Amino acid sequence: MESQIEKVINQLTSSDLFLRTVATFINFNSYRKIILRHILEKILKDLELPVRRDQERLLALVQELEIRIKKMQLKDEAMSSLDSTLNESRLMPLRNRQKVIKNKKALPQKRMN
Amino acid sequence: MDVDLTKGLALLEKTKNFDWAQDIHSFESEAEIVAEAGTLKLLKFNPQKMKARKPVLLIPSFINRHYILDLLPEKSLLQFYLNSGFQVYLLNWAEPQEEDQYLTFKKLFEVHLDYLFSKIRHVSKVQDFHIVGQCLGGSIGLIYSLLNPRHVCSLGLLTTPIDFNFGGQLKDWARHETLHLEKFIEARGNAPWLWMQLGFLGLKPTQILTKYIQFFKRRNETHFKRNFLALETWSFDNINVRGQFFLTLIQDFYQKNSWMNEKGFQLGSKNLQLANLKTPLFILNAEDDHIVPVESTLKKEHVPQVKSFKKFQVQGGHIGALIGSYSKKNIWPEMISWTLQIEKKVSPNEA
Repeated sequence: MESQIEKVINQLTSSDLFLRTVATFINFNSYRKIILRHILEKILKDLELPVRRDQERLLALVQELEIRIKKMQLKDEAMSSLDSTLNESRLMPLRNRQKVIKNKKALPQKRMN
Repeated sequence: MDVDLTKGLALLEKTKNFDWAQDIHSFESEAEIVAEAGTLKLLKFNPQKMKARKPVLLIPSFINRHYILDLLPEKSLLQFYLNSGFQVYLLNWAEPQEEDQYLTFKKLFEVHLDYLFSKIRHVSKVQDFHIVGQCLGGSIGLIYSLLNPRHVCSLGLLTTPIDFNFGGQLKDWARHETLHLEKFIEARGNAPWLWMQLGFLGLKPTQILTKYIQFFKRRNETHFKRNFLALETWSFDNINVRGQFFLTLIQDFYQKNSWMNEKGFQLGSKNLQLANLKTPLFILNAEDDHIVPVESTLKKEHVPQVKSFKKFQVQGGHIGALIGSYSKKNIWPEMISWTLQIEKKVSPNEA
Protein backbone atom coordinates (compact mmCIF):
# COMPACT_ATOMS: atom_id res chain seq x y z
CA MET A 1 0.00 0.00 0.00
CA GLU A 2 2.70 2.41 1.11
CA SER A 3 4.97 1.57 -1.81
CA GLN A 4 2.07 1.87 -4.23
CA ILE A 5 1.22 5.36 -2.99
CA GLU A 6 4.88 6.27 -3.25
CA LYS A 7 5.06 4.92 -6.78
CA VAL A 8 2.03 6.95 -7.87
CA ILE A 9 3.38 10.16 -6.28
CA ASN A 10 6.80 9.57 -7.83
CA GLN A 11 5.26 9.03 -11.26
CA LEU A 12 3.27 12.20 -10.85
CA THR A 13 6.22 14.31 -9.69
CA SER A 14 8.41 12.97 -12.50
CA SER A 15 5.87 13.60 -15.22
CA ASP A 16 6.68 16.24 -17.77
CA LEU A 17 3.36 18.00 -17.27
CA PHE A 18 3.88 18.31 -13.50
CA LEU A 19 7.46 19.55 -13.86
CA ARG A 20 6.50 22.06 -16.54
CA THR A 21 3.66 23.41 -14.42
CA VAL A 22 5.88 23.79 -11.35
CA ALA A 23 8.69 25.33 -13.41
CA THR A 24 6.30 27.83 -15.02
CA PHE A 25 5.03 28.85 -11.59
CA ILE A 26 8.59 29.26 -10.22
CA ASN A 27 9.77 31.08 -13.36
CA PHE A 28 6.83 33.48 -13.19
CA ASN A 29 7.63 34.26 -9.58
CA SER A 30 11.33 34.73 -10.33
CA TYR A 31 10.71 37.13 -13.23
CA ARG A 32 8.14 39.05 -11.21
CA LYS A 33 10.64 39.55 -8.39
CA ILE A 34 13.47 40.51 -10.76
CA ILE A 35 11.36 43.04 -12.68
CA LEU A 36 10.03 44.64 -9.50
CA ARG A 37 13.53 44.87 -8.09
CA HIS A 38 14.90 46.46 -11.27
CA ILE A 39 12.17 49.09 -11.24
CA LEU A 40 12.81 49.84 -7.56
CA GLU A 41 16.56 50.02 -8.09
CA LYS A 42 16.13 52.38 -11.03
CA ILE A 43 14.02 54.72 -8.90
CA LEU A 44 16.52 54.61 -6.01
CA LYS A 45 19.48 55.21 -8.31
CA ASP A 46 17.73 58.15 -9.94
CA LEU A 47 17.33 59.60 -6.48
CA GLU A 48 21.04 58.92 -5.89
CA LEU A 49 20.21 56.58 -3.04
CA PRO A 50 22.18 53.42 -2.29
CA VAL A 51 20.86 50.16 -3.63
CA ARG A 52 20.81 47.08 -1.40
CA ARG A 53 22.37 44.78 -3.99
CA ASP A 54 25.32 47.13 -4.49
CA GLN A 55 25.82 47.19 -0.72
CA GLU A 56 25.76 43.38 -0.62
CA ARG A 57 28.28 43.15 -3.45
CA LEU A 58 30.52 45.66 -1.71
CA LEU A 59 30.25 43.74 1.54
CA ALA A 60 31.22 40.53 -0.26
CA LEU A 61 34.28 42.29 -1.71
CA VAL A 62 35.25 43.72 1.68
CA GLN A 63 34.98 40.25 3.21
CA GLU A 64 37.17 38.84 0.47
CA LEU A 65 39.74 41.55 1.07
CA GLU A 66 39.63 40.88 4.81
CA ILE A 67 40.32 37.18 4.26
CA ARG A 68 43.18 37.95 1.87
CA ILE A 69 44.71 40.22 4.53
CA LYS A 70 44.32 37.50 7.17
CA LYS A 71 46.04 35.05 4.80
CA MET A 72 48.92 37.50 4.34
CA GLN A 73 49.20 37.92 8.11
CA LEU A 74 49.32 34.15 8.47
CA LYS A 75 52.09 33.95 5.89
CA ASP A 76 53.92 36.74 7.65
CA GLU A 77 53.65 34.90 10.98
CA ALA A 78 54.95 31.74 9.37
CA MET A 79 57.85 33.63 7.80
CA SER A 80 58.80 35.39 11.01
CA SER A 81 58.76 32.14 12.99
CA LEU A 82 60.91 30.59 10.27
CA ASP A 83 63.26 33.58 10.50
CA SER A 84 63.62 33.25 14.26
CA THR A 85 64.36 29.53 13.96
CA LEU A 86 66.97 30.27 11.31
CA ASN A 87 68.56 32.99 13.44
CA GLU A 88 68.65 30.68 16.43
CA SER A 89 70.34 28.00 14.41
CA ARG A 90 72.90 30.54 13.15
CA LEU A 91 73.57 31.79 16.66
CA MET A 92 73.84 28.34 18.17
CA PRO A 93 77.41 27.59 17.12
CA LEU A 94 78.50 31.05 18.33
CA ARG A 95 76.93 30.55 21.74
CA ASN A 96 78.39 27.12 21.96
CA ARG A 97 81.75 28.53 20.98
CA GLN A 98 81.49 31.22 23.69
CA LYS A 99 80.59 28.57 26.26
CA VAL A 100 83.55 26.52 25.18
CA ILE A 101 85.84 29.55 25.45
CA LYS A 102 84.51 30.37 28.92
CA ASN A 103 85.00 26.79 30.02
CA LYS A 104 88.52 26.79 28.68
CA LYS A 105 89.33 29.95 30.64
CA ALA A 106 87.74 28.54 33.76
CA LEU A 107 89.52 25.24 33.63
CA PRO A 108 93.08 26.27 34.66
CA GLN A 109 91.66 28.48 37.44
CA LYS A 110 89.75 25.57 38.87
CA ARG A 111 92.86 23.43 38.72
CA MET A 112 94.89 26.13 40.39
CA ASN A 113 92.31 26.41 43.19
CA MET B 1 28.27 30.41 21.29
CA ASP B 2 27.81 30.68 17.55
CA VAL B 3 25.60 33.53 16.46
CA ASP B 4 24.46 31.83 13.29
CA LEU B 5 23.41 28.73 15.19
CA THR B 6 20.83 30.58 17.23
CA LYS B 7 17.94 29.03 15.35
CA GLY B 8 19.24 25.51 15.77
CA LEU B 9 20.21 26.06 19.38
CA ALA B 10 16.84 27.62 20.14
CA LEU B 11 15.25 24.47 18.75
CA LEU B 12 17.54 22.35 20.88
CA GLU B 13 16.66 24.46 23.90
CA LYS B 14 12.98 23.82 23.29
CA THR B 15 13.53 20.10 23.00
CA LYS B 16 15.40 20.08 26.28
CA ASN B 17 12.13 20.84 28.06
CA PHE B 18 11.24 17.20 27.56
CA ASP B 19 12.92 15.18 30.27
CA TRP B 20 13.70 12.32 27.88
CA ALA B 21 15.74 14.61 25.71
CA GLN B 22 18.06 15.94 28.40
CA ASP B 23 21.27 14.68 26.83
CA ILE B 24 20.96 16.19 23.39
CA HIS B 25 24.45 17.20 22.69
CA SER B 26 25.50 20.78 22.27
CA PHE B 27 29.15 20.46 21.42
CA GLU B 28 29.82 24.02 20.29
CA SER B 29 30.95 25.07 23.75
CA GLU B 30 33.83 22.56 23.61
CA ALA B 31 35.11 23.97 20.35
CA GLU B 32 37.60 26.71 19.71
CA ILE B 33 36.96 28.88 16.67
CA VAL B 34 40.42 29.05 15.15
CA ALA B 35 39.55 31.01 12.03
CA GLU B 36 36.69 32.72 10.30
CA ALA B 37 36.34 33.52 6.62
CA GLY B 38 33.19 35.50 5.97
CA THR B 39 30.42 33.40 7.44
CA LEU B 40 32.50 30.20 7.37
CA LYS B 41 33.99 29.09 10.64
CA LEU B 42 36.69 26.60 11.42
CA LEU B 43 36.21 24.82 14.74
CA LYS B 44 38.97 22.96 16.52
CA PHE B 45 38.58 20.13 19.02
CA ASN B 46 41.47 18.69 20.97
CA PRO B 47 41.59 15.05 22.07
CA GLN B 48 42.39 14.10 25.65
CA LYS B 49 45.34 12.11 24.46
CA MET B 50 46.90 12.75 21.07
CA LYS B 51 47.68 9.52 19.22
CA ALA B 52 47.56 10.53 15.57
CA ARG B 53 50.22 12.81 14.14
CA LYS B 54 48.01 14.59 11.66
CA PRO B 55 44.67 16.26 12.34
CA VAL B 56 41.46 15.34 10.60
CA LEU B 57 39.20 17.88 8.97
CA LEU B 58 35.50 17.05 8.86
CA ILE B 59 33.57 18.78 6.10
CA PRO B 60 29.81 18.47 6.35
CA SER B 61 27.50 19.02 3.42
CA PHE B 62 27.06 22.68 2.53
CA ILE B 63 23.29 22.29 2.30
CA ASN B 64 22.82 21.14 5.92
CA ARG B 65 23.85 22.00 9.44
CA HIS B 66 27.23 20.72 10.52
CA TYR B 67 26.17 19.14 13.84
CA ILE B 68 25.06 15.94 12.13
CA LEU B 69 28.67 14.85 12.63
CA ASP B 70 28.22 15.26 16.39
CA LEU B 71 24.52 14.70 16.87
CA LEU B 72 24.50 12.90 20.23
CA PRO B 73 27.37 11.77 22.44
CA GLU B 74 26.86 8.16 21.33
CA LYS B 75 26.19 9.10 17.71
CA SER B 76 29.13 11.33 17.07
CA LEU B 77 31.72 10.70 14.40
CA LEU B 78 33.57 13.74 15.70
CA GLN B 79 33.77 12.33 19.23
CA PHE B 80 34.91 9.01 17.82
CA TYR B 81 37.84 10.66 16.05
CA LEU B 82 38.65 12.58 19.25
CA ASN B 83 38.53 9.42 21.36
CA SER B 84 40.83 7.76 18.84
CA GLY B 85 43.42 10.45 19.48
CA PHE B 86 42.92 12.74 16.49
CA GLN B 87 42.88 16.48 16.69
CA VAL B 88 39.67 17.36 14.83
CA TYR B 89 38.75 20.41 12.79
CA LEU B 90 35.19 20.95 11.69
CA LEU B 91 34.09 23.33 8.96
CA ASN B 92 30.91 25.15 9.87
CA TRP B 93 29.25 26.48 6.73
CA ALA B 94 26.79 28.47 8.85
CA GLU B 95 23.68 30.24 7.65
CA PRO B 96 24.61 32.22 4.53
CA GLN B 97 24.01 35.97 4.63
CA GLU B 98 22.85 38.13 1.74
CA GLU B 99 26.40 38.85 0.62
CA ASP B 100 27.16 35.11 0.40
CA GLN B 101 25.02 34.75 -2.71
CA TYR B 102 27.99 36.00 -4.75
CA LEU B 103 30.43 33.46 -3.37
CA THR B 104 31.42 31.17 -6.22
CA PHE B 105 33.28 27.86 -5.91
CA LYS B 106 36.32 29.54 -7.48
CA LYS B 107 36.47 32.21 -4.79
CA LEU B 108 35.64 29.68 -2.11
CA PHE B 109 38.74 27.65 -2.92
CA GLU B 110 41.05 30.52 -3.88
CA VAL B 111 40.26 32.73 -0.91
CA HIS B 112 38.12 31.27 1.87
CA LEU B 113 39.25 27.65 2.08
CA ASP B 114 42.80 28.54 1.14
CA TYR B 115 42.99 30.70 4.26
CA LEU B 116 41.06 28.34 6.57
CA PHE B 117 43.04 25.25 5.57
CA SER B 118 46.35 27.14 5.79
CA LYS B 119 45.32 27.95 9.32
CA ILE B 120 45.00 24.22 10.09
CA ARG B 121 48.55 23.64 8.87
CA HIS B 122 49.78 26.64 10.81
CA VAL B 123 48.01 25.84 14.10
CA SER B 124 48.73 22.12 14.05
CA LYS B 125 52.22 22.62 12.57
CA VAL B 126 51.72 20.01 9.87
CA GLN B 127 52.19 19.95 6.14
CA ASP B 128 49.12 17.84 5.41
CA PHE B 129 45.99 16.54 7.12
CA HIS B 130 43.19 14.04 6.63
CA ILE B 131 39.93 15.17 5.09
CA VAL B 132 36.62 13.43 5.66
CA GLY B 133 33.71 14.88 3.73
CA GLN B 134 30.08 14.05 4.28
CA CYS B 135 27.79 14.07 1.22
CA LEU B 136 28.55 17.27 -0.74
CA GLY B 137 31.26 18.06 1.78
CA GLY B 138 33.06 15.15 0.11
CA SER B 139 32.95 17.03 -3.21
CA ILE B 140 34.63 19.97 -1.47
CA GLY B 141 37.30 17.62 -0.08
CA LEU B 142 37.77 16.06 -3.51
CA ILE B 143 38.24 19.42 -5.22
CA TYR B 144 40.70 20.53 -2.54
CA SER B 145 42.66 17.28 -2.89
CA LEU B 146 42.95 17.80 -6.63
CA LEU B 147 44.03 21.41 -6.19
CA ASN B 148 46.47 20.79 -3.31
CA PRO B 149 47.48 17.10 -3.30
CA ARG B 150 50.51 17.73 -1.09
CA HIS B 151 48.35 19.13 1.69
CA VAL B 152 45.96 16.17 1.87
CA CYS B 153 47.18 13.01 3.56
CA SER B 154 44.01 11.01 2.94
CA LEU B 155 40.48 11.63 1.78
CA GLY B 156 37.27 10.06 3.05
CA LEU B 157 34.03 10.39 1.12
CA LEU B 158 30.95 9.57 3.16
CA THR B 159 27.92 9.04 0.92
CA THR B 160 29.26 11.51 -1.61
CA PRO B 161 27.69 11.60 -5.08
CA ILE B 162 30.13 11.55 -8.00
CA ASP B 163 28.41 10.05 -11.03
CA PHE B 164 25.24 12.11 -11.30
CA ASN B 165 23.90 10.03 -14.18
CA PHE B 166 22.77 7.71 -11.41
CA GLY B 167 21.50 10.55 -9.26
CA GLY B 168 17.99 9.12 -8.93
CA GLN B 169 14.92 11.30 -9.00
CA LEU B 170 16.82 14.40 -7.91
CA LYS B 171 18.72 14.13 -11.21
CA ASP B 172 15.44 13.99 -13.19
CA TRP B 173 14.23 17.13 -11.48
CA ALA B 174 17.54 18.94 -11.77
CA ARG B 175 17.84 18.15 -15.48
CA HIS B 176 14.41 19.41 -16.40
CA GLU B 177 14.99 22.21 -18.87
CA THR B 178 11.96 24.42 -18.27
CA LEU B 179 13.18 25.80 -14.93
CA HIS B 180 15.27 28.96 -15.38
CA LEU B 181 17.78 28.32 -12.62
CA GLU B 182 19.83 31.46 -13.04
CA LYS B 183 16.73 33.63 -12.81
CA PHE B 184 15.60 31.61 -9.80
CA ILE B 185 18.83 32.48 -8.00
CA GLU B 186 18.94 36.05 -9.29
CA ALA B 187 15.49 36.61 -7.81
CA ARG B 188 16.16 34.95 -4.48
CA GLY B 189 19.89 35.43 -3.86
CA ASN B 190 20.45 32.25 -1.90
CA ALA B 191 18.43 29.12 -2.62
CA PRO B 192 15.69 28.88 0.03
CA TRP B 193 16.00 25.87 2.28
CA LEU B 194 12.30 25.12 1.97
CA TRP B 195 12.71 24.26 -1.73
CA MET B 196 15.53 21.87 -0.93
CA GLN B 197 13.59 20.32 1.94
CA LEU B 198 10.51 19.86 -0.24
CA GLY B 199 12.72 18.18 -2.82
CA PHE B 200 14.11 15.70 -0.28
CA LEU B 201 10.68 15.01 1.19
CA GLY B 202 9.33 14.51 -2.31
CA LEU B 203 11.78 11.66 -2.92
CA LYS B 204 9.99 9.50 -0.37
CA PRO B 205 6.70 11.25 0.22
CA THR B 206 5.18 8.60 2.47
CA GLN B 207 8.27 8.30 4.64
CA ILE B 208 7.38 11.23 6.88
CA LEU B 209 4.03 9.64 7.68
CA THR B 210 5.41 6.16 8.38
CA LYS B 211 8.19 7.69 10.43
CA TYR B 212 5.77 9.42 12.76
CA ILE B 213 3.53 6.33 13.00
CA GLN B 214 6.63 4.41 14.07
CA PHE B 215 7.45 7.13 16.57
CA PHE B 216 3.95 6.95 18.03
CA LYS B 217 4.20 3.18 18.38
CA ARG B 218 7.56 3.33 20.15
CA ARG B 219 6.91 6.49 22.15
CA ASN B 220 7.68 4.75 25.45
CA GLU B 221 11.21 3.75 24.45
CA THR B 222 13.43 6.49 25.83
CA HIS B 223 16.46 5.66 23.71
CA PHE B 224 14.45 5.56 20.49
CA LYS B 225 12.67 8.81 21.31
CA ARG B 226 15.91 10.58 22.04
CA ASN B 227 17.51 9.48 18.77
CA PHE B 228 14.38 10.27 16.81
CA LEU B 229 14.09 13.74 18.28
CA ALA B 230 17.74 14.57 17.68
CA LEU B 231 17.61 13.44 14.06
CA GLU B 232 14.33 15.22 13.38
CA THR B 233 15.67 18.39 14.97
CA TRP B 234 18.63 18.25 12.62
CA SER B 235 16.71 17.35 9.49
CA PHE B 236 14.29 20.28 9.90
CA ASP B 237 16.96 22.72 11.02
CA ASN B 238 17.97 23.72 7.51
CA ILE B 239 20.05 26.48 6.02
CA ASN B 240 19.68 28.29 2.74
CA VAL B 241 22.19 27.31 0.08
CA ARG B 242 24.56 29.98 -1.20
CA GLY B 243 23.21 31.04 -4.60
CA GLN B 244 26.31 30.28 -6.67
CA PHE B 245 26.86 26.97 -4.83
CA PHE B 246 23.34 25.97 -5.77
CA LEU B 247 24.02 26.79 -9.42
CA THR B 248 27.26 24.77 -9.36
CA LEU B 249 25.48 21.86 -7.73
CA ILE B 250 22.71 21.76 -10.30
CA GLN B 251 24.49 22.92 -13.45
CA ASP B 252 27.97 21.39 -13.06
CA PHE B 253 27.20 18.32 -11.01
CA TYR B 254 23.66 17.24 -11.87
CA GLN B 255 23.34 18.59 -15.42
CA LYS B 256 26.87 18.35 -16.85
CA ASN B 257 27.94 15.44 -14.63
CA SER B 258 31.37 17.11 -14.56
CA TRP B 259 33.35 14.38 -12.76
CA MET B 260 32.48 11.88 -15.47
CA ASN B 261 33.19 14.28 -18.36
CA GLU B 262 36.41 14.31 -20.37
CA LYS B 263 36.90 17.96 -19.41
CA GLY B 264 36.28 17.28 -15.74
CA PHE B 265 35.09 19.81 -13.22
CA GLN B 266 35.86 23.35 -14.29
CA LEU B 267 37.07 25.63 -11.51
CA GLY B 268 37.92 28.96 -13.09
CA SER B 269 40.57 28.16 -15.67
CA LYS B 270 41.44 24.80 -14.13
CA ASN B 271 40.06 21.47 -15.28
CA LEU B 272 39.95 19.08 -12.37
CA GLN B 273 39.76 15.42 -13.29
CA LEU B 274 39.41 12.27 -11.26
CA ALA B 275 42.25 10.80 -13.34
CA ASN B 276 44.65 13.14 -11.53
CA LEU B 277 43.62 12.09 -8.05
CA LYS B 278 46.36 10.25 -6.20
CA THR B 279 45.36 10.84 -2.60
CA PRO B 280 44.66 7.69 -0.54
CA LEU B 281 40.93 7.33 -0.47
CA PHE B 282 38.17 5.63 1.45
CA ILE B 283 34.49 5.74 0.66
CA LEU B 284 31.38 4.88 2.64
CA ASN B 285 28.22 3.94 0.76
CA ALA B 286 24.71 3.43 2.05
CA GLU B 287 22.85 0.60 0.36
CA ASP B 288 19.38 2.08 0.79
CA ASP B 289 20.34 5.67 0.12
CA HIS B 290 17.63 7.38 -1.93
CA ILE B 291 19.41 10.75 -1.97
CA VAL B 292 22.83 9.46 -3.12
CA PRO B 293 22.23 6.03 -4.68
CA VAL B 294 25.13 3.58 -4.38
CA GLU B 295 25.60 3.61 -8.18
CA SER B 296 26.31 7.34 -8.08
CA THR B 297 29.22 7.08 -5.63
CA LEU B 298 32.90 6.78 -6.48
CA LYS B 299 34.20 3.41 -7.65
CA LYS B 300 37.68 2.01 -7.97
CA GLU B 301 37.40 2.01 -11.78
CA HIS B 302 36.91 5.78 -11.71
CA VAL B 303 40.28 6.21 -10.01
CA PRO B 304 42.45 3.19 -10.95
CA GLN B 305 45.61 5.24 -10.28
CA VAL B 306 44.79 5.60 -6.55
CA LYS B 307 46.94 3.01 -4.78
CA SER B 308 45.18 3.00 -1.42
CA PHE B 309 41.47 2.64 -2.01
CA LYS B 310 39.14 1.31 0.65
CA LYS B 311 35.40 0.88 0.28
CA PHE B 312 32.84 0.39 3.04
CA GLN B 313 29.25 -0.44 2.25
CA VAL B 314 26.60 -0.35 4.93
CA GLN B 315 22.90 -1.13 4.99
CA GLY B 316 20.85 1.93 5.74
CA GLY B 317 19.83 5.28 4.43
CA HIS B 318 21.77 8.44 3.74
CA ILE B 319 22.19 9.36 7.41
CA GLY B 320 21.53 6.00 9.08
CA ALA B 321 24.54 4.46 7.38
CA LEU B 322 26.70 7.31 8.57
CA ILE B 323 25.77 7.51 12.25
CA GLY B 324 23.92 4.25 12.87
CA SER B 325 25.01 1.84 15.58
CA TYR B 326 26.30 -0.70 13.03
CA SER B 327 28.65 1.88 11.55
CA LYS B 328 29.83 2.94 14.98
CA LYS B 329 30.70 -0.62 15.97
CA ASN B 330 32.08 -1.91 12.69
CA ILE B 331 32.89 0.83 10.23
CA TRP B 332 34.24 3.75 12.26
CA PRO B 333 37.00 1.68 13.91
CA GLU B 334 38.03 0.43 10.46
CA MET B 335 38.04 3.98 9.12
CA ILE B 336 40.31 5.01 11.97
CA SER B 337 42.73 2.12 11.59
CA TRP B 338 42.90 2.67 7.81
CA THR B 339 43.65 6.37 8.39
CA LEU B 340 46.40 5.54 10.88
CA GLN B 341 47.91 3.04 8.46
CA ILE B 342 47.96 5.67 5.72
CA GLU B 343 49.67 8.08 8.11
CA LYS B 344 52.42 5.54 8.72
CA LYS B 345 52.82 4.80 5.02
CA VAL B 346 52.91 8.43 3.95
CA SER B 347 55.36 9.65 6.58
CA PRO B 348 57.07 6.66 8.23
CA ASN B 349 60.03 8.76 9.39
CA GLU B 350 57.90 10.97 11.59
CA ALA B 351 56.87 8.04 13.77
